[in-house]
Amino acid sequence: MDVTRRLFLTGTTLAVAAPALLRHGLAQSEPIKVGSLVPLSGGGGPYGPEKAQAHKAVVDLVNKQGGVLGRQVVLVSDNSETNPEAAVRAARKMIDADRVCAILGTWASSVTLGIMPLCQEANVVQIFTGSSDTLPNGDKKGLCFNLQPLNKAWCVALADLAAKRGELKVAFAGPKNDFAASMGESFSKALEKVGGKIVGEPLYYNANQVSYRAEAERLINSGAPALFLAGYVTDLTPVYRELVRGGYQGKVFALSFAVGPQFKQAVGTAANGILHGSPVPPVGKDTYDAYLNLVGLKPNGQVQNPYGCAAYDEMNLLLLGITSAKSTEGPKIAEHIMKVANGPGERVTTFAQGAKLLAEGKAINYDGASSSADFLPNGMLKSRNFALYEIQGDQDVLITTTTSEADQ
Amino acid sequence: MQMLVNALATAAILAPAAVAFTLIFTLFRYANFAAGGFVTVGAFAAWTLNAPLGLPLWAGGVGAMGVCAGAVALSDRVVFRPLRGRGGGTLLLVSIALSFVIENIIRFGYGAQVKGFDLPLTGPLVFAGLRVPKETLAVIAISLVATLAVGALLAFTPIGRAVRAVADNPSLANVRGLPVPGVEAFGVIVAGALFGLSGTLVGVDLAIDPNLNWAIAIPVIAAAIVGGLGSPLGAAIGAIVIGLAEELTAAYFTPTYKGAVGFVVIALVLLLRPQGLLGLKVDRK
Amino acid sequence: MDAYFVAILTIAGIYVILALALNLQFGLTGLVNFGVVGFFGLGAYASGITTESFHAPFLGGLAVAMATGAIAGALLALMCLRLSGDFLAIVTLGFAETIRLIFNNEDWLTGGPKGLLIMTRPVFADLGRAANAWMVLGVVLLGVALTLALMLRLAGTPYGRVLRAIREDELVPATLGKDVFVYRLQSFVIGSMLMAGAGSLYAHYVQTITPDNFTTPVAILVWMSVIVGGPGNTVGAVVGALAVVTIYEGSRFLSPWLGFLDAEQVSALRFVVIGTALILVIRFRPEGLLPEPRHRPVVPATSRPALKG
Repeated sequence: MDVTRRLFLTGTTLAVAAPALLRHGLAQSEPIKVGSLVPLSGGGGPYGPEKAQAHKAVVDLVNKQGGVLGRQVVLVSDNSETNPEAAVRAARKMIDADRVCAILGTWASSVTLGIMPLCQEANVVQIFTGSSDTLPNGDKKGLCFNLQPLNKAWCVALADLAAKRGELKVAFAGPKNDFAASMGESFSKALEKVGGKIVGEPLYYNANQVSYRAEAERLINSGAPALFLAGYVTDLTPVYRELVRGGYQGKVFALSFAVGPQFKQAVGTAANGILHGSPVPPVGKDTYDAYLNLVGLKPNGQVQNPYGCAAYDEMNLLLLGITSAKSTEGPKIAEHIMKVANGPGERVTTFAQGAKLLAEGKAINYDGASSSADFLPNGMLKSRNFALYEIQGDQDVLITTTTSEADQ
Repeated sequence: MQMLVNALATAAILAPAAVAFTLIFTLFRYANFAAGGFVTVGAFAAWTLNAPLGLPLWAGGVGAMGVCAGAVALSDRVVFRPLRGRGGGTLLLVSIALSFVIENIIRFGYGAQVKGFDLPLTGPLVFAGLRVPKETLAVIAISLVATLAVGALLAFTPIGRAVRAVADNPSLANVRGLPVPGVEAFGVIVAGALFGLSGTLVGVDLAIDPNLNWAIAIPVIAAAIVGGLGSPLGAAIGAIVIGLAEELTAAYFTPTYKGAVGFVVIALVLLLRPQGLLGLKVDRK
Repeated sequence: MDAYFVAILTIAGIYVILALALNLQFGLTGLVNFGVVGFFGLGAYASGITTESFHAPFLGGLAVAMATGAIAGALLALMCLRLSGDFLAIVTLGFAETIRLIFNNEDWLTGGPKGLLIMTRPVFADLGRAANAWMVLGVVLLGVALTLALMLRLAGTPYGRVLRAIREDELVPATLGKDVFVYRLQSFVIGSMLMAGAGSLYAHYVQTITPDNFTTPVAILVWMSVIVGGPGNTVGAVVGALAVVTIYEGSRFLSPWLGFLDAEQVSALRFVVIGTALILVIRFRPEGLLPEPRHRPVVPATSRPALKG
């Protein structure tokens, strides 16, 4: 019993003391800490690495040039696992142990919303890409900035394209999650506005199934002349494969991020004819090329790293906000992010340019790699370019580019 | 009819793995939950040989069977054999932990990017309004041949009889002069090859992704239980039952509850016919 | 004292309750419950729905959660406790998965994938972030203390000895006239009830629950706690849970030294290490850190080693 008690006491003491000891070791200097919480596994797994890479590239560059307010920036990275539970635990550590001033890079709306109460309580800024229409609701303190347009805007562009192609009867299918559910609703409204109609009930399925044959069968049997599939690449690939094998002949609309190179590699020439659209970086613009060069890619006239460029903007905006606010307190940073993003002021495209002008006491307006990075008062993006493509011969052929304005 | 074709296609994927699960259960009396993990290994092995290395898919499949046989044999040697004699619960727990380890080793090595075989997608063959994709036809044929071959192997060959003897009573088999460790190793390798085959067939149908692990484990185990955990034929029939139940759920109820089908079918079987559809009464502990 | 420490301790407390409940089921009685996360989630949602949709106070939510957990546990147990342990494991695992699907699909009740926002907190007054965190920690620790007291008491009584005897060999208590099935049922139901109670505490602590909060890795961590701590040893389960939460959370602090790996690999590696550690403990120290105290009379030699599970 004696040994047991001693073991118990030692164990408990160690268990209790370990985090504190570790933290003490890490909190020696006084750098600015920034959290990078991106999906490296789960449904968002394919899109997280480019975001993490962009965060790191900006921080490395800024540190090489002397840091922010003369302080080094330390990036605290973790994996959100595209899972709110894991993300909340990671965020808690970032906020309470590392004392980050902002958490950047969350991708799935469920994750962004999951950590929001925590960030609100601790006055931590959130900059992210997400499109669920419920995102603005939880931000009571004005700490959130979204670099992606909400579903509503996204669906208007797709419904317009459908109408132009004469596809007014469209069936909807998507994974059972917040994103697809709100996508379905928005698309239905947008389609009705242009005189179309959703065929049948929207079909929701769970991701990670062994077989999607029954889902494909239901879609084929609905007799819809066109389908809108709001899936991620992990579930869209098998659903689409079953549709082709099942002999579906109609048009298919999808979201660009789901039909990228991985999708095309997986389904081959059968991808031809898919129409897809998404918010895109301004291909060919100096800001986007600057981002590509920074992460070691060559501009090639195509969309590359659609989320990486947004992550680049996330980090630039935050660091410029801190420089402008001369503070690392959340509410102050947020107030200044709004200023440096929306202007008015001199156009800047990198942190170095902006910091220099701010030091001279001038106002700036950041122009980003993913969009011009202007926000509505609720922190949602004002407008962003949408591109609509058709896949032909394994390539995305641009049909049209539109700029969609959010109607809040 | 269309539904039957689709159910058979799902069953064809599950069947080899369910047979393998049953084989391990009868030999060693534990439920190896790492089944999903091994199928995932098979899918990734076949993909590695097929897509980056450019081998034809059949070669990838054969390679995957080899790799899986190796993996299952290794796991048996390193993980399970030292634990023989411990309770089924302990082994089951270990197999879940192993599954978790396998899934994350694959994620570590391959990343979370989705992969697919180098296989052209084509439309279905149509017979009197019945649509049958060509790949599905191939998948069903291969799976059927493999399952029957293993069934025949166990039923009619000397080594098969030896496997059944060891499964029934290892000490008796030992007394009667059967090389028990050798027979067990044979069973393990056959099971591994079947997991590899399932993995390849999964890859023809689904996106190849580390998350396959749990998605496939429950239907496979459900199929084995429905089949009575004793006979390969039972496991194959169990796979058809699960496939049919999933199709019916998705067609008439809602596809979002397809993942619960395995559980509901197991529950029904346990309530109504605990010994499974075929197979003798499973001994209680 | 610092907020992170309070947060970790709160989570650790919840895991301790889960580990104690599983220790009753597996450690003492030998019932393999892989649906830990199902009961945990059921409790969380039951409690959240009770307080949010029906405006009950926290204690009402907790009571409903525990009742729901007990009923679900009883139903599952009735279905498969008469069969071998493997079936219980498979059915409970399937149960956990099915429960999660229900959370995800029944939007009208659970909020679906968006999750459930829970405003009711186990605090007396809103006194700011730090004070609230301490109060929640206090409530969780009270739960831990009550559970621990119950378990220590159970393990020491003749009742606990019957459970152990059932785990070792059900024939012996059966010949002594004990109804093995009833004992197993009771043990399983009490355990499930406590897991649901832990779920309720968790729900009111994190305040947003989504179906993704209740996936298999949570169950793995609880199992790891019981196995590492020493199955059958009540104090062991507590130590095990603390150790596991420390390792799991502590491993986050290692990533700066693993710069040559990308973050995805680091996260995969963490699970590889946890899984491997679990296998190694079972292999080389099946009695865990704190072995179960054994008061054995002289046993006649048998050819059979003691069975676990």
